[in-house]
Amino acid sequence: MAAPMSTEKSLNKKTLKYVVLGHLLSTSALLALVYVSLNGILEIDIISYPLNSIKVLMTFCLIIHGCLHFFIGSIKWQKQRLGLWIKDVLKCFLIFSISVMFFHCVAILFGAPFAQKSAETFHFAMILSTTTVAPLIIHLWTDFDAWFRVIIFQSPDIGIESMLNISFITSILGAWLGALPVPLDWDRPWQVWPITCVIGTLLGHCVGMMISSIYTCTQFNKRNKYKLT
Amino acid sequence: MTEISRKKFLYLIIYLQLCSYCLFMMGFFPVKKSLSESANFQNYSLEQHDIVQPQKQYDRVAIILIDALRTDFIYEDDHMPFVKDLMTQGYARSYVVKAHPPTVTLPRIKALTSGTIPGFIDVVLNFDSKTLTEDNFVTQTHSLGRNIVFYGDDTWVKLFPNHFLRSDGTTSFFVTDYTEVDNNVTRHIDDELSTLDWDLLILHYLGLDHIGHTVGPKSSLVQPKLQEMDDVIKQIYQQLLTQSESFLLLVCGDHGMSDQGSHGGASDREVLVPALFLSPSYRNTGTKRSSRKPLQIDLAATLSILMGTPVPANNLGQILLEALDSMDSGQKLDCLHINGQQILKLMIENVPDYEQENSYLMYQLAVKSYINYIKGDHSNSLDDIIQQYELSIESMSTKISGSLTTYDMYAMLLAMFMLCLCFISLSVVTVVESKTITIGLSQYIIVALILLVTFGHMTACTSQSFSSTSLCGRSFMSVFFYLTFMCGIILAIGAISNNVQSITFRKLIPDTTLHQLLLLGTLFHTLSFGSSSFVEEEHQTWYFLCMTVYIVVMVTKVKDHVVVTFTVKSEKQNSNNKNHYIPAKQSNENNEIVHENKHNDIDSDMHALHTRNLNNKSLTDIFLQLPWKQICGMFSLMCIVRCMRCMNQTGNKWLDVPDIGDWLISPENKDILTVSIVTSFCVSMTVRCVLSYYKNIIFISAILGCYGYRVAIGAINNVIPHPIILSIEQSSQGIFEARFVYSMILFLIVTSLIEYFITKRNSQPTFDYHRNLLEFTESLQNAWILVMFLLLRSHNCILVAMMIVQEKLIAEFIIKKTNIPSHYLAILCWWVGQASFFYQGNSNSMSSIDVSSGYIGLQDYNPIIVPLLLFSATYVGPIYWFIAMVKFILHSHIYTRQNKSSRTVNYNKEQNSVSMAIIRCVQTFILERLLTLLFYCIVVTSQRYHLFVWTVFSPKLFYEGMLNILISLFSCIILFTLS
Ligand SMILES: [Zn+2]
Ligand SMILES: [Zn+2]
Repeated sequence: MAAPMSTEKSLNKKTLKYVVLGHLLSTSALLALVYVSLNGILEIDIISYPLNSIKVLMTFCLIIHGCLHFFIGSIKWQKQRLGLWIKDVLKCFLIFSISVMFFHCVAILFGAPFAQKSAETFHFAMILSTTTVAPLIIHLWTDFDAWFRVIIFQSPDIGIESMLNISFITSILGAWLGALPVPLDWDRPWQVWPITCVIGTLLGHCVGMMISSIYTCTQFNKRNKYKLT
Repeated sequence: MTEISRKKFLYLIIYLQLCSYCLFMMGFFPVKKSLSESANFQNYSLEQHDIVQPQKQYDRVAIILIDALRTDFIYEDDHMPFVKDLMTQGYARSYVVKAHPPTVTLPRIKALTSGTIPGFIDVVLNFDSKTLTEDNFVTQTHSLGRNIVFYGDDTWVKLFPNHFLRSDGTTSFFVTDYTEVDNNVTRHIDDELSTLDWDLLILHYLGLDHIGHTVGPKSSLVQPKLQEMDDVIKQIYQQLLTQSESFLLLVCGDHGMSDQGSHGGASDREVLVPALFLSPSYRNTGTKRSSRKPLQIDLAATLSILMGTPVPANNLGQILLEALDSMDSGQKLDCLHINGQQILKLMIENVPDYEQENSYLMYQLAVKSYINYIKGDHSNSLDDIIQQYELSIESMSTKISGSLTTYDMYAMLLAMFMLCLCFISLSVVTVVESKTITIGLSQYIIVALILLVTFGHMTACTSQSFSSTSLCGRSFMSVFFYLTFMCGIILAIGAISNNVQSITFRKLIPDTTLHQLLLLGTLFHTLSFGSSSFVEEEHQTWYFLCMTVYIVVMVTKVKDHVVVTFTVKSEKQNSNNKNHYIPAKQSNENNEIVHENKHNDIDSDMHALHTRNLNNKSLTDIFLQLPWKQICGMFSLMCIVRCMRCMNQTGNKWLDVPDIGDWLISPENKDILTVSIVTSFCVSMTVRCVLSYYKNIIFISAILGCYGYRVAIGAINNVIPHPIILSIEQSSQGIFEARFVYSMILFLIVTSLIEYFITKRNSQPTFDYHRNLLEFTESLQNAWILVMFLLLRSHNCILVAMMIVQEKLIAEFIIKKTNIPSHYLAILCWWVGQASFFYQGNSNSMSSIDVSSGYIGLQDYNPIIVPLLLFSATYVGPIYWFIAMVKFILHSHIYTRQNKSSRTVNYNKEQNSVSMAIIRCVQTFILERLLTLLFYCIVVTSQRYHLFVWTVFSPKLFYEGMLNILISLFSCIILFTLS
């Protein structure tokens, strides 16, 4: 079995290319997914079947991040004892479920119905966790130093970590902004809780990934300049 | 160069802003152009056919106006069996008429009697009814020498003084009384039915409206009340029938009632009211009903025709033909022609080029086909011609009512310009950090400005379409506004031009997430007024923003805590590393710093990494070291706030969602209500007994008084089986208890004022001025809590307790250790205060004002006390948070000084720091007000032909004005006393 070891610190031009390309590809995949779900193509119709489509969206989001990790991930897996590995898995699962509970509570505090629609609220919390915490789990596994760099200290390394940092913030911002169209009196079917917030979350995530690829490029160029002089 | 202090400048800006608001209101609320004459009998002749208005159809007409009679009460429910019987036997003509908003009594009576559409401003005047000078059928009947008798709401007596042969007005303002008001009317009926010297009898019953206001339309009190009304109708009808068959009863409502029991808005429940003509002369002839939807103003014209009086001159309504059952088609057509001619006259008066109007042409066509009919051309049947008339009259009256609303654009634009100038000058002054403000201008510029303004004013006044009634007259008002705005413009331009160079934009950018959020949120709230649904759902904006603040504060605190706990240790270990990589305490936004450093020297990246790691802490360690006290405090704060928002659903979209308030009021939950109210009294007593010994006793006894009041009005059960309380309960209707609480409040304020001045005079060199002031603010806040307990609806007592706990938590966990700058503190308190305004159940619609709160402890209408109580009851929440803000400022000041622990602080310097904080708060408030008002005025002006202008935008403008007055008052008070 395997466990993560050290993170790769030096960033060369080739990996940069991969990182940026990977980000852009996953962004476009997610955007396509959002488009599909909004228009009810392929029977993923977020307006008629919100719960099922949220599940589908969530799975795809996980798969996309999984692929991203598989191709450009920086963790080197090592052989490890089975018991420790199971412990790590449990840890990650615990963190994920705590984050779902946390987001569920926050959604209720922000005004989501308390008793009714709890399935919808739960699914919203799941998708928000999928775009914020799940990428951290996938890319960083149990490297909690890196977790803290990304979430608390706001000083991630350039590359995957900065992507995680930026998309973490933009996903939450997207979910927050997604609540804005709800009070409008247009009486559209998509104004129902939690559709706008789910879409907001995913769009925020995509925007975050895009920004992070631009950010990575600019940072890389700056560093190279310093190295040359 | 003239210099004035910041304080004086603020006073001037507040004054200018209030003037601008007044001017805008005067320009926006349309000045109606109405004919001042009263109508005479008009005879028209078409060819050889003379049209004479028919004589009166009935010897006696009785109007039974049941306030807030909703359509379903009479047509759907079976609570009025006699009326139902008459309807099935065919002795009735029943209508559902549509009233124009605002659905408030006074404008509705005006509409009912004169056939005009009263404007929005009549709502404000609803509390102060003046004589109705416009032509109406009551005056017409009176001047024809007939006898009118009136019993009921005394609004009528004020509207029509000396019109009535006999009258007895009952005041409509004691809302909790719903038997006595109606008995006062009914007791006269026997006499009147035996005397029978009257031609017109008007009865206005208020009981149903009062039931609606206090317990709602679904209450069990509604059915017996309707039964009582039915009995009254039955008695009058049968008694009159014994005399002759020539009488008419009109049973109608003035407005409906929303499902919450209130009225004032424009929902179907409030707007649609029944109008029922009852007379034995009606036969069950299946007359064809016209497809037109009848309006409430139609009743005036119909009644005029039926009573044989001239149609009122300003009438816009149309005769309801089915009610003229005794006439043949020819006579009906004649009546319609009279109606049409009268409306045509109004149209000629009000619509500039009426000859091109479609409705005018339609009417001419109808007249022409009538002439053809008289000439003998019967290709159009009479019914067809009637239909033509009806259609054309309807479209003419729609056209006229549209053009009646003329806006005074000059006044509105000038007001907006002034607001804009005030906003710019105040924001310039705010950014410049000098003690005094230079406002002087050179004489040449002043003269030039005066000339320019005068010239502009002259041009505007002499131009045709731009002339203004409120600004261009020779009245005192126009001179006043002219001079005020002249000085205002000079002042503002002086302030802008002298200070604009010293602006530094760096200061404008807030530094932390919380501050950015507070600034952007306020801006967002202002901009959200551009959409009518965000105006209707304003509470959602506030709830959302407040919750975001709490979450941001919590997350920031947790983050800071983790950063501090884990980096300090690593700092010790790698002490030779460079410190500036360690995220400092205030570094919740430190990524910029870190990145900057990265650019500077990349080699030290490795060190940065070391300082950022957790030294292999396990997850449980991290978990245990989180600031749990903070998290729990913030979490309970958020839970309380979440509960508060479910207390009263407001707005429009989710108004029908069941809330805790509705559930608590329902009679079967009285025990739960009792327990929760008593608990909240206890909670507030334990939290708020912070004063000196005797003041605490006053506070507690006043709370007991509030308890007694709630028991006396029957809102809660008595849990103290003491004989004294039991005897009080039976004796008064809560008036005694309420007055006891008022006197206690006064006593509390007066004693703390006296204490304040005594301590101030005995001041020693070490005298603590601010502690004394803080003491006074605390007792003022306690007094205000008592006001809240007394004035709010019973279930909202829980809200008060929650608010007290909320304030405690905010003080403890947000303000205490954050050292938040005073202007951001002001924004925070403003947000929370606005949210609490909506927690109470208020909204941006007139119908959510709780009228009954204006009469607590009163027996009669009092023109000073009632509006004052209403105003304080509506704005209790915001005022509470304003007081809290002052408290926070004083508190944090004393706290920081204690931390300095130096007794030798310069007294003057200290004084200044508090006064600077207060001035900053006031600047923030006024800036917010100016910005919102300016933006909202622009929105309203551009949307003045919008569908929702009378239902959404105008009430909001009114609310904004009230808020403006409140904030200006508050700002002046704290500026005066604290700086
Ligand atoms: Zn009424
Ligand atoms: Zn009423």
